[in-house]
Amino acid sequence: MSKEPNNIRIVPSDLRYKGAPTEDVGLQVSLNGDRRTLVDGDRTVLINLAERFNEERQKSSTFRVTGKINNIFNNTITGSTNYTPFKNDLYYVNEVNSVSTNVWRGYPQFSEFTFFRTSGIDGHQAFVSKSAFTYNWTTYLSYAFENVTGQTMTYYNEEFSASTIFQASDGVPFVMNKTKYNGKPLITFYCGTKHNLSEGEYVKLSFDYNGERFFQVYQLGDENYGSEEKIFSIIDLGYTGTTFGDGVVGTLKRVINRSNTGETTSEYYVRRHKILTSVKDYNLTRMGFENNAFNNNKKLEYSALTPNNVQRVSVRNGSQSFGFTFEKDIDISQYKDNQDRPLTELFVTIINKGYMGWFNKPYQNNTTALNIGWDFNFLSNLIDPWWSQTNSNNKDNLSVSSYQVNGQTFYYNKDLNVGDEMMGDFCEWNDYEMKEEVISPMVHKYNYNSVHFQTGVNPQLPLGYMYYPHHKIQVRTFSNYVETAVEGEVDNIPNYSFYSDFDGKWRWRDLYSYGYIDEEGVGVDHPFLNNAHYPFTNIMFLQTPPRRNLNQKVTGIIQPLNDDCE
Amino acid sequence: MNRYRFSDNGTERKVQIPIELTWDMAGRDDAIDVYEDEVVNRVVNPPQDFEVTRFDHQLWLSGTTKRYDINYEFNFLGAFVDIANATANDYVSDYEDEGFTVNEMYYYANSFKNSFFKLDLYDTPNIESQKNYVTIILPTQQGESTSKTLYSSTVDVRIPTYKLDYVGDKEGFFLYWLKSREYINIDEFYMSCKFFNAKTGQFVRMTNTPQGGFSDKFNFNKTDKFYYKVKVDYDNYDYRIETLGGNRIGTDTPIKFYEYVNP
Repeated sequence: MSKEPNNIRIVPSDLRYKGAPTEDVGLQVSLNGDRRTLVDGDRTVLINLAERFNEERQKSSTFRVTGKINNIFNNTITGSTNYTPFKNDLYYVNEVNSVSTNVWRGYPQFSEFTFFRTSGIDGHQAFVSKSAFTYNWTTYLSYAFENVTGQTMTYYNEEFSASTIFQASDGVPFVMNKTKYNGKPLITFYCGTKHNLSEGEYVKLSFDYNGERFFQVYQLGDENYGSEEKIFSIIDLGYTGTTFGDGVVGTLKRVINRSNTGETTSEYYVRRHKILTSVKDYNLTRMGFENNAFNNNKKLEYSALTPNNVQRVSVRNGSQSFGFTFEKDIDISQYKDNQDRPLTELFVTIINKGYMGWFNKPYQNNTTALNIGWDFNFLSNLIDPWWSQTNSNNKDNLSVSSYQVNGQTFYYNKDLNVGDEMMGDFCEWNDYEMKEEVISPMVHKYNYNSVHFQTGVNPQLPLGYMYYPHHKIQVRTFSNYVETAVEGEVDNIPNYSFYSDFDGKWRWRDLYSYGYIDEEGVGVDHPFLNNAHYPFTNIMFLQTPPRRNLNQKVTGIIQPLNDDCE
Repeated sequence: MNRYRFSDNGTERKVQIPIELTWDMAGRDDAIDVYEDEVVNRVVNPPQDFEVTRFDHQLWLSGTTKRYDINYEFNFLGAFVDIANATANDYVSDYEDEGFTVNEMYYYANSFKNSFFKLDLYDTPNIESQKNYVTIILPTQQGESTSKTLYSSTVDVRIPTYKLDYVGDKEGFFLYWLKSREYINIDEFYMSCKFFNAKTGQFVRMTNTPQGGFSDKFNFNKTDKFYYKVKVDYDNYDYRIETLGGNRIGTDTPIKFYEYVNP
């Protein structure tokens, strides 16, 4: 009904004027209805903003990836060069001496290692501004699409001078040693990668003792802090012979249940990635207000102390951070991961390009120059022999190209195209757990071109820098728990589920919806707008020389003692 | 990935293969549900893509050298020239002719540093119906330099001639515009220019040819004289600037704007 006020004054008829007759007065009240009867079959939909937003969010499988790169790098390798443009461009060391000897040693400028260069090299390469962020590094999106079990690897343990050559499918490499804990004799395994074991689980060794290959894990780690990831022990029951001798090497597989070894023994492989974007799908800019925590190293090269008598500012290290975006939207519904499940991980894949030609000369007739390895291929006191140029197993199909300037040949790694494939991390998969774990991330090594920059080392084991090429972006997550169901009792069992003969049940992990994060913090909640998800990733891009201590022994930090005295 | 191993033990075996069904038989009720979804979508509007991306200046060749920089040249009417007597040669690319002193320019006085060029991109040059979609600001702190005398010293001060690129001066180099053409489908904009003078608090419009050269200085076709064309390429995410006649500029032929003086 209308809510307008009706000011109606009713005057009795005999009072209207003098002598007016008395009459009945009628008042017509209009009733306006703006409702109608509910017809059977009518539907009412309540439109709720939050629900609509969530509905649109769950339907969308489009991702727009953005992020930030912190280039953590220390320019530590010096060398000399006879190529004049490079010689004129070095960050010199001991330049006073160089004036008299005319042998100029130094570091290449930081602009060879950064993600955004602002100049070329005089007399060598002119600078094209659009290529500012593709001269040194190229960046792509990729995903893991298959598993490679036949990759040959080598784990070298420096402490025992023991080497294990194995295939990815063999599992975790180790070297063993007899030890004692609280007087109890143990056999301790020092693994090259994370073993993912828990106390009480079993390992299946690559060799047997009187026909037995399965042994129960007694203890994780040794007396050193943080050693649980890569060290474990079994009880030494008095095994005789040389099977469990000091320095014995081998491989092992994790087994969850000794009674169900067929389903609970882990599988091991190297992930293979497929490239989803091309170079032109990527933009990178320098961050206006962010640097990493390390200092810039700059100095003035005085004209009298340079080979070409030109004064300039030389930069050895920088701390600039970079922001990047991918212009290409990725629809993850088109892809399956390496376990044939819906795609839940994308990777920002960074490859050294080195267009200025300081690096990447292929060895002999090779078509590739970058070496691949894994996190266990680092030693403290020497360069792991794995990185030898003669090793045919440390190559991937990342091909080089070259150009000629001033009568010299310079090499660089070619850009990748959509659909190109490359190797990735070393992983463990367990059918029963339906879970993949990265046990050793992949590493690339780019080497100095010994023709144009001499570092004074064996050219078969050249100096260079290592970096991790693949950086994960979690776009969805599988549940922390494993769902089980008996056939016929549950609808819509996902097609990636595993049927356990042992349990007589299907097993799978649920795919969490976007925006849901469980009590343990598992889940993703990326911003959603423009009908797309916007995951952001912060990449700490570490470039290291080929020697560092990443293996299992962390000496000097002893586990705090916990006993009844506290 | 499920890997099965079958051992022949003489008994009959079976394999259970999970086939996930995400569909159902459609009936009248389902059809109503679908229709209901359609109606709701019409009511609340489907999600649209308002993402912007950056368009960079299209490649051009200087001889055989690949270049991407974009070049602007803004010209002011000489300080002591009356527009009534002005010719096309009376315009200079110098802030002094817009009233700034060398002192103000060298020390970046507020009156100078708060001044800027504003490039507006419209869908049409027709003033009555045009809509402004994009604005590019070029601050006076960018640009080339020239030597001037300040008291008895020679100092470098900015001039309104810009070379914008990926490195160096780059504010105004990129055009930020909708990535998708679904919402607004424009691949050709019309660019006009105004100079906002913080010293006077006024702005001056700028023309694409010197007003001093017009046969009738105050009665001319505004559509022809105030705009350049900006062409956007959505495949390569870049843009180019052209004269209204279709000749590319912004390369080694700069984009020139000239001060317009009202009658």
